[in-house]
Amino acid sequence: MRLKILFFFILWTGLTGNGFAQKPFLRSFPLNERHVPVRVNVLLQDAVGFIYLGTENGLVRFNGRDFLPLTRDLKKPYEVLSLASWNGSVWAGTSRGEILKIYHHLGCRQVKTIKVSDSSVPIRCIVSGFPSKTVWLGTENGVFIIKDDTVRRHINNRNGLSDNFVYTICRMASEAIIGTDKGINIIDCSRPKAKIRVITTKNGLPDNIVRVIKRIPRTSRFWIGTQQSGIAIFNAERQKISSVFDVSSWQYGQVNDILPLNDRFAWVVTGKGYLLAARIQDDGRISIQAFHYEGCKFRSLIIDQSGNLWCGTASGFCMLTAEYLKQIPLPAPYAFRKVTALAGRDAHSLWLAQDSTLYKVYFNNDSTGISYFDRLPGYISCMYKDAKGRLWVGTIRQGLFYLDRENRLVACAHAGVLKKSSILSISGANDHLWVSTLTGVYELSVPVSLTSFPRVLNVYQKNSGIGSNYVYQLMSDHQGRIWMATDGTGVCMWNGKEFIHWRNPDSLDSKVAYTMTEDARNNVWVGTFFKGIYTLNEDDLSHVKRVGGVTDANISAIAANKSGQVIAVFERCIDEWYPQSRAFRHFNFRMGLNIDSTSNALNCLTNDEAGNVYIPYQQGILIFTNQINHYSIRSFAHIDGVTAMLQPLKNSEVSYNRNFITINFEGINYTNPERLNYRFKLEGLSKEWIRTNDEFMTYPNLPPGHYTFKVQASLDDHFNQSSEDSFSFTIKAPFWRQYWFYALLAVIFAVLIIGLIKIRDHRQQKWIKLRSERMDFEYEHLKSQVNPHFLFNSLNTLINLIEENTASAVAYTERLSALYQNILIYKNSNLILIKDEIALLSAYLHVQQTRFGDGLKVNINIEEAVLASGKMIPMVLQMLIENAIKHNVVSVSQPLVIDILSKDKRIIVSNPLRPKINEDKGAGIALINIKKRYRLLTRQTVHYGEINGAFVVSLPIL
Amino acid sequence: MMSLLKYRFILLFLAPSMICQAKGNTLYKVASSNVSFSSRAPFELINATSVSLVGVLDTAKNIFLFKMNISSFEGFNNPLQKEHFNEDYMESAQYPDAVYRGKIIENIDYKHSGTYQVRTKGVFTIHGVSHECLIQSTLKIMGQKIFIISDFQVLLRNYNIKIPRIVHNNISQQINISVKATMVPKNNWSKTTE
Repeated sequence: MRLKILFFFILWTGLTGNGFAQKPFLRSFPLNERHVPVRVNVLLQDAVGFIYLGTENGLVRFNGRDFLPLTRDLKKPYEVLSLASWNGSVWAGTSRGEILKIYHHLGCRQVKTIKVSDSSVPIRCIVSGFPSKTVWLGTENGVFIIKDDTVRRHINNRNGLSDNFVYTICRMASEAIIGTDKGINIIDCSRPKAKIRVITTKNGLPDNIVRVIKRIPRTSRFWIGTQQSGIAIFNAERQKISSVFDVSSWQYGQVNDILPLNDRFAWVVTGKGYLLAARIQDDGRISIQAFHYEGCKFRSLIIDQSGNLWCGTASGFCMLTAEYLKQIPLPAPYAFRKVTALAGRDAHSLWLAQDSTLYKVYFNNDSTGISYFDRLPGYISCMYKDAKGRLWVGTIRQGLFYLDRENRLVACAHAGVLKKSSILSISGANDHLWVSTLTGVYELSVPVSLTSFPRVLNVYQKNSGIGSNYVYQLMSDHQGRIWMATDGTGVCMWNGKEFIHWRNPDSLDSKVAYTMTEDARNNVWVGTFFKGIYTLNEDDLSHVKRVGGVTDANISAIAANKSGQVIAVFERCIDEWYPQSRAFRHFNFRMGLNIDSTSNALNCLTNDEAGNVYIPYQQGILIFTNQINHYSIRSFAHIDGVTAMLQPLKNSEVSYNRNFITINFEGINYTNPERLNYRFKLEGLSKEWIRTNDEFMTYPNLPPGHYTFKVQASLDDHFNQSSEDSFSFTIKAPFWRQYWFYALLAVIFAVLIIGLIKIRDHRQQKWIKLRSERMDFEYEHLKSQVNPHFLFNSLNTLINLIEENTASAVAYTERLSALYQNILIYKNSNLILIKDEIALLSAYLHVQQTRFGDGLKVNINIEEAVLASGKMIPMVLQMLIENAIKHNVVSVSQPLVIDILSKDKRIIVSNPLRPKINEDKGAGIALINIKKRYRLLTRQTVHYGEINGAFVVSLPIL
Repeated sequence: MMSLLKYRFILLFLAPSMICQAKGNTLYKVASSNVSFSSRAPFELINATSVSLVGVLDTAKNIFLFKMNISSFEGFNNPLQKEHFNEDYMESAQYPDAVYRGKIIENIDYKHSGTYQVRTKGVFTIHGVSHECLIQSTLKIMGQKIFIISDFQVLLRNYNIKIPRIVHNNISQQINISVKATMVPKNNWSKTTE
């Protein structure tokens, strides 16, 4: 019989299989749309918050939502084997012996390649922070030490390294601890000539192939991960292996990465698909809890600041919830919708009620299962495990039950009123049991040994001070006071003497409180009927605050763990409050964890002794665990590209004609990236924050000036916890709006004004000169006309005429007077038509011809066109003839013939040269005056001189 | 003569170590061998064997190099299969050899007879593609002879060997390889090389 039971037991555990109870969720993130497997060798989170993936196809950056290939533009595909980051740059070691250095310059990403050695040895690890700013590279051909991007030293088996194949380097003070194929090598970097110390299997190392060395925080001890013999701890001070996990029972495959979280605990991933929780016990031994993920060949492991474990595997990239959420998968007949109550039993089991049936849920280290326990006559509405570990079960219309010493459920039949009542909630404080029914709250005294039945001490009803007969939840706080979530008066608290009600928040119309919990800081959280979640101070019930950022209103339960998180269960999702971030982490069906919905029964969850929260869901039970470290779910904003006219910036100054600024930014969040939203402002343009869901902003035409762009990312409406990234730039003013240009303009204006003044001055002087010339001319002319000689000659002629011919004497006198009249008329004018000049001339000629008779002949031969439109200076012809008469012999025997003709737009006056013997003084003044006057009016000059025995004067026609 | 040519390649690789180990009899060569592979696919089981493995083991430095000609595999289910194997899948005209060179992780006392479980680590090259490999092997030392027994798997995907969809059920992605070799000391090394 025993054998049979044993057989069935083995069969049963065998069927439930390799089921490691309380398994963390694993969520895969496909790296490409086609879900083609990609080997992810190594992971890194940089200071900004991005996760970098070193894959077989190059380097990829992840921000929680999207994968961005960083080396796509490099020609050759690179397999990235190692990653490191410091000083704001990320270094990626490739299988070709090169390092890709990624850094940001002026808001844009740059990639630089450093060739380490001529032969392309794969770079397995990169470690910085060594003395004198050197970087150590572990390669498949020894260790390279580089500084300022050039190799300074090469350590290999010729220098004493036990093997050239280096997996990992770990730094402790000035020592480098190197994991190779043949043991651990320790190099003292401060003494370059020092001998390399080697730790191998002879020194107690379980395996010579040391793949991982990770320092235990704040100690000088290291986790060692080996190829076939599991993990061990190496004490660097004593230079020996201090503890080893039992080598013979190591079944988890080669250790590929270790992530120490504190001085006792580390996560380990292996090539066979195991996630191991490794703990150092008090006696120094290592204990392991293993979770198996079929088909996941884990290669690397990191943790982000929100507590997610990220794994690179041989076929992709995945996230593990091991730090905050686990699950107990349950087989049939489990059906989450029907779960009505949950209570803790012991460290490895729970009580679970579906309708009227009670089950036990087991989750041992290696198996999970659900087994039938008992059936009650009525629907089980609530369960409570009291301080002594006894189970109390409340039913609808069938009263209260408890589990007696013989493990049987017994009705509290004696307890009068409780006999057939409907129980809503059970709680306990100070050895008293509190039971809420549809007719009020009962306080019972429970005998220590349960030999006699419980006794009703007090009944509190609507009129006793609660204000309502319906209490959905009873809760005892850490001081033993009883809190009640009522239907009608919200929350009230019984402190042993009186009921104290909360001050109803102004915004809360509904007075229905469904569920309550006390968090790790002793605040009470209240979930209300469609009116949100409130917190209140335990000692001051008037201080009620609404909690923002809740995603749903239809709350069914609220609970808190011991590390400060509060879990609010809704019908379709779960919110987990992170006190450090003051925000909710959101779990729903979109997160790829298959958490679609939970039980809709009120307050259907429980805490275990440690404080972990158990919540039934459709495939089993979720465990929101206490969190070892303080994780933050806040998001980060990062400016990832600034362009002007779609070109990267060359410096932070932008010229006015490239004034089209586009700023790309992105948010980094690993909890609920789909809820990211941003706000930004451009200091220099506006002081207002602008909210957006876009990940870029364009400023097409900014006025010149200095600007700072600031962006923040957040999961909800509150940006006070979010990080900020900023970028400053200057838009240069166009040249016409710069000071030098204004100065230049002023100079040009001044020059122009001065020039104008000068020109005007010049003109005025010219005009004055012209006037004086004319006056000179007139004076000369007048002088010649009032020349006593001329007058004497003219008057003599007149006397002769009067004697001979009176009529012609009158005509002669008329002409003479006309001559003087003409002088008066034209004295002020500069120009005269040639036609008029000829007319004027005729008066003069008449006077002279009368005197000289046939001795003077003047031939005028001027073209009609010239006569009509040509102009000249008045009295010039008269002066020239007068001049000719003055200088030449005029007699009947030798007549003076003067030709006046027009030729080539000139008027030519010529006479044969027969000079008088005694010359008049002042000869040539008339011609010089004429020339001067013409020069003031035209560029064409007046020519005069002797040609072929004739005196010729050539005047331009104006 | 042919084998001499094959050794020349190995000699080049091991030349530095030979100089260092001028006097000791630390070099072993393959005396006889049997390399077989099997592909267990749903519709077909393919086996083939070759005896043309050559190789050298330096027991002083714990390093080795093995090489074999891909086209020397015999014993397919039919001649056409062999032709496909050489021409379509392995392209043995272009990539004639499979090479495994590397080191033995465990330290072995070659002077003492006995059976040792060792891990060999090195670079395995087939079809022109090199991969780092860690292969478990058994070394039996009997006096002057070393027997090597090793079974391991090779994933065709890793070595860029493409199998058409139509024969997916006839050829497995995972090929099991079994190696048995006997190695003897190369006492008269100089004679052979001359």
